[in-house]
Amino acid sequence: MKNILEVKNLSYTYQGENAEALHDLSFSVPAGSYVAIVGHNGSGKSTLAKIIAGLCSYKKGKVTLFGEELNKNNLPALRKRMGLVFQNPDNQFVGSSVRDDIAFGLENRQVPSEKMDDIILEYATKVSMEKYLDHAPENLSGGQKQRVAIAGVLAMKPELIIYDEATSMLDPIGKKDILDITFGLREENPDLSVISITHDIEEALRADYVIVLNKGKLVLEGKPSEVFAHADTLKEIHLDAPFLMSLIDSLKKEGVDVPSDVDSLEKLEEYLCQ
Amino acid sequence: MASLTIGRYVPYNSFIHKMDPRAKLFALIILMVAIFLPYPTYVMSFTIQGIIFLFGVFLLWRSHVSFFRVLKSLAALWIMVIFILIIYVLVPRTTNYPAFDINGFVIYWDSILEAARILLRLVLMIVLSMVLTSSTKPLDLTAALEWYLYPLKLIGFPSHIVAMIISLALRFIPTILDDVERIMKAQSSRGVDFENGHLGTKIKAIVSLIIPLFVSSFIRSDELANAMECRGYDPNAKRTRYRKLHFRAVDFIETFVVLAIFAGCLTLSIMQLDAFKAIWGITTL
Amino acid sequence: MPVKFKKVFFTYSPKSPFEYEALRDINLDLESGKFIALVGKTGSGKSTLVQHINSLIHPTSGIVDIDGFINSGVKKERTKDIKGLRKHVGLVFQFPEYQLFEESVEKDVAFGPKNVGMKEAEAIDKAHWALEKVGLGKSFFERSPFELSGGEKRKVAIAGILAMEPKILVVDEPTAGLDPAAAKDTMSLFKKINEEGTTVILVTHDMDLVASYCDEVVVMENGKVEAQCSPSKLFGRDLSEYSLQNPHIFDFALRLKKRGIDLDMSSIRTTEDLAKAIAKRCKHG
Repeated sequence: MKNILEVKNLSYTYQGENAEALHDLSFSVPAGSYVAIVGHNGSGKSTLAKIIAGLCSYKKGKVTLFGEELNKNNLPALRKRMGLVFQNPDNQFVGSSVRDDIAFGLENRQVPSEKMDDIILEYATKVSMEKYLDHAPENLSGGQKQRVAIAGVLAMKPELIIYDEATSMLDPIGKKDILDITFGLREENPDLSVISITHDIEEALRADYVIVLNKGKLVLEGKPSEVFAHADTLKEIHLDAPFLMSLIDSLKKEGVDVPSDVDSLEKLEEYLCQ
Repeated sequence: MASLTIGRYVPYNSFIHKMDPRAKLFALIILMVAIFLPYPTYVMSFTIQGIIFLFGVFLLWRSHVSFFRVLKSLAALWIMVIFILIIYVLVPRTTNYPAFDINGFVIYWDSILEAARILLRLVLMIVLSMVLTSSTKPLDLTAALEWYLYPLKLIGFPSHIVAMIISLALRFIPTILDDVERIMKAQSSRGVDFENGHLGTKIKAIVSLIIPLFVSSFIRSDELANAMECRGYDPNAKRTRYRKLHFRAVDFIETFVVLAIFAGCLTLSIMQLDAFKAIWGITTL
Repeated sequence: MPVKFKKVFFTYSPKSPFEYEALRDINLDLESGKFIALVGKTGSGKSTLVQHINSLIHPTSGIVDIDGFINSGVKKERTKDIKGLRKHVGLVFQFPEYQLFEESVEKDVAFGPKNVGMKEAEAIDKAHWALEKVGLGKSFFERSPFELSGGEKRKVAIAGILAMEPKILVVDEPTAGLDPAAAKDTMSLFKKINEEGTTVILVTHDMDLVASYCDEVVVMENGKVEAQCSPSKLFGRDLSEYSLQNPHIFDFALRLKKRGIDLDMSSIRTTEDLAKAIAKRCKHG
């Protein structure tokens, strides 16, 4: 399968700092996958997002997006193929209403104005915000604003969406809405790739692939069930195991043997009820 | 915070709301100029101001702005009123029409009238601006402003960037007011008293508000810039426009009416024509 | 009973188009020394409620009695000793790192104590004590708060409240935006403070926090108190009626219950407890 993103031997040091924010990082993201990048604040995951988005220019290593090596010249073209959703719902809401915010990206892409209303309605509906088109940002909840941000990104028809801790400032309902929308989108369009930078372990559990960063280095990578099986390594870098894994772990300690193919709470429930 | 929300947009479906913001902005500016033109006598000034005032009241009524809100915003002017009264009434002038004589301190009629004229101008300015801001979305207003600045593009003035800056500022005013309220509450629970205290503590209180406000605003602007860049915003690139302005028949009529009023005022002013004297032969102040 | 709400109503912007009733007939007793959670979805009135405890806002009607300090709808009844109250009740807002403003960490932390009447030297001592308490050692005292990491800034802000040695500590979403390890650190700190005798009131959406740290939970919905009980009692039933999510442990226990595996939920607090309960059932059943 084609890789949508390839990172090779990437190192990065912020200006005026000695310690490396990223150290010799290599991984790749196959097209159409949901990749969760987890790690602590300061693990380098936000730096990674900034580099991929072209907001920081790197010197050491190689970042390849959609088969092209990222540089200043092709950045605008590559950016058109991806969308970012950032952490703070307020600080990415550009328009004075939901309508205007979704329109902002369309205006940048020089979409003819006659077509905009239909596009806005279509994507607002996708994130269930069609009833709020004329609402001002100050009258929306954080979760609603993030949904608008997603609509704004989707309206650009990206091949890749990057979430930079997009749910970390939301309440549980807002979080759940965003994740449900995202997984729904992927069912609708299996070619859409998602890179989610997060410290929500439960979200990472639902991803296709998990990358764990610590102090700028890649510590673990693989399928969620493989990565989260390394309970000791996770503990060492102070990451919690997902509830499922820690419950299975505790059950095993209590002498309840859980088969290794149990990889969801539903399966565990099924197994225990036998 | 209440005083800051007085001029804010109130959604209604009146014909004034539906009018082209360019026409409304033009009307506001033209009427303001008419108010400030010099007229030969006080009575002429008051008459013209009165006519414009009635026109303003009509607009307020048609655009569903509550008179209560207008009065409230006028009430906020009382400091101004006192200031003007002091300057114009109490500073002695020498004319022939003394009004009061308080133990040798003479207050003249034309001091009082001059103060009244200035006050009326202020009231009119507020009334007319309120019609505009309550019936026009800030975004449309920005679009109108950008349209008027458009010719400056020829000499290299970045009117589209200025318009973007204004619309972003308008977008973030409520957000920053929220920040102000939140920081004030946070500092209050650290024992800061924003209302009482002597000058030193007051300055410290303000500093404890201003610095966090700046810090958070800088963070906001930084993140906003990143988000805009990622969404493909390039200040120098061509952009299409979601909100299109439509100049319709009602806008032509309004512009015509306003221009007619203005032409009348301008004629009276330039010719220094005292209509009362010319028509009825009455000499007034 | 340190905090007592009696028939408290609160309305934002009364008699305006933006009028909004945030609290309706709140009657609530919060006991001394407990670790109390206040939960409810966004807009349920939790934040409005806790601001009454610090007299940052006053009831529209009704009375809040905070260990004898009175916050009332009637102005005359309100306590005059506002600084005493603010010292007695420490309120840590959401994202408190945005309230830092001094040039050094110790000065910032000493700001609150100085405001409520401590002498400079004493305030600095208290600041050092509070900083050590939140885990920021000597090397941090002289540093600028603005060069710290997000998690450290939050610790400084929390220390700024602890330095006033409040008897009641109210914390609003203290773990929002923190990574899991920092969140755990922060919560353990509050637990320790609670064990030393301070009443802690935690406002949160995170039911997992409530399950692991709190003695008592108050549920709010639409400006009303819907329930006040122990966490395990509350989480034993489905919380979706309040638009809340049960903690993972209880959610799973409830799922098992539906399938006929009934566990004794009152003893469950951690994942280990749940595993034990399940193991017990499996061995017997």
